[in-house]
Amino acid sequence: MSNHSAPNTGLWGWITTVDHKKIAILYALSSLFFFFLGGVEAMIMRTQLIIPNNDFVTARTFNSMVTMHGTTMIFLVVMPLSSAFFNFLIPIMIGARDVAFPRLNALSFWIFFFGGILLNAGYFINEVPRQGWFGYANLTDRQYTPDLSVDFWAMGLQVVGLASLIASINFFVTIMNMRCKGMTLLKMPMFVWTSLVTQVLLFLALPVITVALVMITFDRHFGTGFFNPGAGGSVILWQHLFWVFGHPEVYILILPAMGIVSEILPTFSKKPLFGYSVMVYSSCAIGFLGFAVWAHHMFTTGLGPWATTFFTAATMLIAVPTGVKIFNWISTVWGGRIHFNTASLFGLSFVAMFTFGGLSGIMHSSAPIDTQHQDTYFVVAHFHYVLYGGAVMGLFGGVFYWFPKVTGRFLHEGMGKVQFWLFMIGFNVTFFPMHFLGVQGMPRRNYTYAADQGWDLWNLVATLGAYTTAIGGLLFFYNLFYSIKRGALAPADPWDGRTLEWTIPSPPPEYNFGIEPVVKNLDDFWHQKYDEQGQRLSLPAKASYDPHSIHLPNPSYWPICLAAGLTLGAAGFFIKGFGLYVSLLGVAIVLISSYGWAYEEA
Amino acid sequence: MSAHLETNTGVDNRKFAMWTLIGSECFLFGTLIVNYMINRNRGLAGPTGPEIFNIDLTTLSTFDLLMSSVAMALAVFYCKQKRLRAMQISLATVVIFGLFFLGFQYYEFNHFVNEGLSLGTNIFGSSFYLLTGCHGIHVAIGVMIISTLLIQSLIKGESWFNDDVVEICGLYWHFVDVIWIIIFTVVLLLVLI
Amino acid sequence: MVSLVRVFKVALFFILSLGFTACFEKLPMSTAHVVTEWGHEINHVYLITTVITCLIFVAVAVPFCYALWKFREKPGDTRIPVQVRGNHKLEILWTLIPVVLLIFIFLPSLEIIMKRGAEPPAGTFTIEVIGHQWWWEFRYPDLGIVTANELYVPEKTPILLKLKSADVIHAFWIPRWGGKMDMLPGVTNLLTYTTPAVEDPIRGDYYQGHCTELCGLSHARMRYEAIVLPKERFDQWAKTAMNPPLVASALEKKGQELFMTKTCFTCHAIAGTTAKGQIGPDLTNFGNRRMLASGTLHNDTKGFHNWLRDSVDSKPDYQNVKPGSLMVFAENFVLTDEDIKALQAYLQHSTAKTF
Repeated sequence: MSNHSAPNTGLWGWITTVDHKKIAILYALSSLFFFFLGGVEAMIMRTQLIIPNNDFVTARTFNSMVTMHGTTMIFLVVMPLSSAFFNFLIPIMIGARDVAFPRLNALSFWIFFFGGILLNAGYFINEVPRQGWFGYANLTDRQYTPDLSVDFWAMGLQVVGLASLIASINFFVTIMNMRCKGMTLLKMPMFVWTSLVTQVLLFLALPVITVALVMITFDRHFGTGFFNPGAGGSVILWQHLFWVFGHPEVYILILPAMGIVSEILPTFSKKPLFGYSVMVYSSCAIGFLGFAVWAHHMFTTGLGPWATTFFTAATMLIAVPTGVKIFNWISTVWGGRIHFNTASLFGLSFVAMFTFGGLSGIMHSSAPIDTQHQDTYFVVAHFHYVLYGGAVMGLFGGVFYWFPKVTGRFLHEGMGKVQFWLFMIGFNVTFFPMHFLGVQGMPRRNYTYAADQGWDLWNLVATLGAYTTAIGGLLFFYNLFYSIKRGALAPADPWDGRTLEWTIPSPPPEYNFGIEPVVKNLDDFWHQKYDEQGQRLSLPAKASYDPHSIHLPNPSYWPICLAAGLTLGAAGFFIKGFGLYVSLLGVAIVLISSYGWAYEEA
Repeated sequence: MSAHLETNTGVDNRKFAMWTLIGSECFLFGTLIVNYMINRNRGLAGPTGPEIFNIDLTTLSTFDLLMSSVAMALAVFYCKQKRLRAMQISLATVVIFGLFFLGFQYYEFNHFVNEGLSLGTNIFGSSFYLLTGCHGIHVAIGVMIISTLLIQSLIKGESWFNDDVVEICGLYWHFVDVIWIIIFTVVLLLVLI
Repeated sequence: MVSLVRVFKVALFFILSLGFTACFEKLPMSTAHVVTEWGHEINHVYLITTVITCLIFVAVAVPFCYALWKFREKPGDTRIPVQVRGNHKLEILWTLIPVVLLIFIFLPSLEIIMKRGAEPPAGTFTIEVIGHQWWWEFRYPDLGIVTANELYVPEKTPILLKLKSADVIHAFWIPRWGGKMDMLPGVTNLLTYTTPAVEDPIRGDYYQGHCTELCGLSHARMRYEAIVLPKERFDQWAKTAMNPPLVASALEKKGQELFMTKTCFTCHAIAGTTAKGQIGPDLTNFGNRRMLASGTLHNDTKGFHNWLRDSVDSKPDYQNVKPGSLMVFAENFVLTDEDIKALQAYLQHSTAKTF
């Protein structure tokens, strides 16, 4: 850390920070906290299902666990953890000193953080959402869920969604506008590309869920009947709206991990990413097709043969660009010099597990087969292979890969490898048997099952696998605490990296680059270090610069005020009696903060 | 902070962000309009569109909003020309027309409720209020932002010619206007056919 | 580390083979043991798809594992590999091959989709299936029969199921018949089958079904059974299904009185009596049912006692048998064990005598 940023390291410094690297750390820490919470929810579910007719938790609690595990893992773990990577890496990878709107960036984080708390606030009054993470109407109607549980879910998602929307616009502008000299679009690292596609998906898909959530809130509290068949509404409309958002959301979750793996594999096999341009096009194709396959979640709702055919075909089509990516990753390591450490193991496991999830996905892309798989454990197995074996393993690879850059210390390798194998074995032992359970007809979201079904064995195995994973997770948290204090010190370029973040010190100074970089090639740093024959070149001496002459955005407390006001406005909804005044107070705080913000020296 | 920075696309960051936001808003209003189209003939317990819509009045308010867009374009033009008084008058016109529009909408909503179409009467009404209400909120935010600009310009006088900001607000205002024309076509004119 | 990978792969192989045998175990809800034409068609596509995906898996796994082993970093290895940036021919190849393979999955899928989408011929034997939180109502409009939780059908007959819901979304699924369909409030979905041939002509064949859309607290307890009977036995069932109960013994008589006074009748209907309630399952042929509480408990002394005791004693939302069940009673409601015995005599015996 340079001298003039030293006063900003206290709690106040973190609260008012607009530095994208600090915000990234805030995102990462809060998503890891929610990861712990979501993990506990998963363990409660698996414990309940360890034997038939178990009464470890009540049906109500189990349904809440189902709902909150899904919602938490998607909206409060994978998305913000990806956001942590966007925050830390995008500006550095494109050679910028910060994102386009540093204060907006802080605002997104605080809105997300408060929204996450609001989403979980039902725990305090025992009204935890229990209608499933996709909240199918009309179970969410007040008639069937009279308490406030659905409102915590709808409001929480609304607030979290707003955070993602702001962040996506910010990153989109950053990538499009703030690249350093020479960094054309096709010289950007792959991670920046997949991030770019993710941002587009985010800001196009989020408005749809916003409308749907507004509609559900209106239905519950303002007497409308959009999803109430009794009033002429349609329950299917909710499913269309939800999945028009929900399917792009799947790619929002997986694309950042794909980008991370596309950075890890080249580095640890010392080869460039195979077929860079094809990888770019396939990411764009996935993003585009992601908007055209939503109804494959609805094959059993009676769409009619033509719609079913269309969505079957579109879903199969999306397998093609995905398959291209997998073959390209294999070709990337082919002929390389593969170094095995925790980061690369996680990255490689992503390819294996994601392939597996992709293949079971092909199975139920066919509508007739899907009518046997829909809402069984087969589907549970499928999306955990994609989102856990895929996205989460990829993100953990990213954590081990960039941790030295973020903190200046390595995560402990030994513990990391043990964690990797606990995860890998635990994950497969948990989710592979779920394919069998699905084929044996076990419906998902069942809080219990009868002993006469023959599902005992695989449920037991799955639960044991889940416990294995949990040990791995705890080990990771210990590793984090251990390494942040006592991990081995990391140099600027610990992995012989290829992209710009490895050219600057670990941890990077607040201004990232003393002298703004100029890029000539894709993988520019590699080309600075090695010539075409693979001979090491000597790096030119670093030019000196005066850190004090670099203008940095001032810290600001308006973002947290605005976010707090916004969340207060939403929270007033849940307070009986004087709730309206709380909401109005929130709105007032939002207004005051907006003006304070607008007139503040940036 | 980066208004003076050179950008890759040559477009100011804030303007680029506004365009992105507009892209996002297209999906927001797209969803609302599709929702309206799906629901306009559903669950009709109370009055329906053709029974209560007052095309003349709404045409007038549409015209009013269009004029405000013209005034906004003039404001941007005068701002670039550094003609303070003309810019202030144009901005004030935008605000007044915007307020008029909101007044029209208030009157219209009030009228509909009196005719027996409230938010929960039927799904046609719910979708209608959701769509036009969401647009109304956008207009209100626009009016608020533009009056802020006006006040700032009145306070700071000649030293305040922030053409970027005026232009970005103009973008937003034109977008809100274009959306209204689509809503007007979809909601009101289609009823006539 | 590489040896660990291999150990892992070997372990995976054993789990796989164990798993495949597990898949073909004959379980009540196994999708591997389908009995209808539709089920066989689906499993045919499923087989094709499985073969193709396994081929792709091998095509990915073999080069991947080989690359990991062959190109691993050996101690003291400092070579810098050739910086290959791509190969367009290869990339086009592995874009086109999946497309071709997918066509082989798509075409048979398309065939089934179109076939299933065809309108059933008029006059097909129709049964209305209505989902409730958390039980099933089956209506036979042609026969004038209303029953609950047990779907009786004649063998080898084309049937048309009209799927509806009385409250939230449920889904109709009998895994061994193949295919599922959502039951949406406000919409009627159609599902057609040709019922399978009967293997056990005396008892009839039981096929288990389950709700597959989260429909509230007791979603997991929303099961039912489809019973396929030989034609003449089905006709016999249909003739007697709506017969009123025959009350003979004193205990049965007491049970009937309790049923008509202890609020049971407000929710349940029994044909030929004054009980006409529509909220709960129709109990006309209750004594004939194998399970009660929609496939949750056996319809015997123990099950009956458990069900009533739990419903009366537990607070709503925290019932043990069926959490959230609408079978709730007033605070001061008393039902002694003797009462339950009498009700059991009435419901299980009187209603069964007519069959």
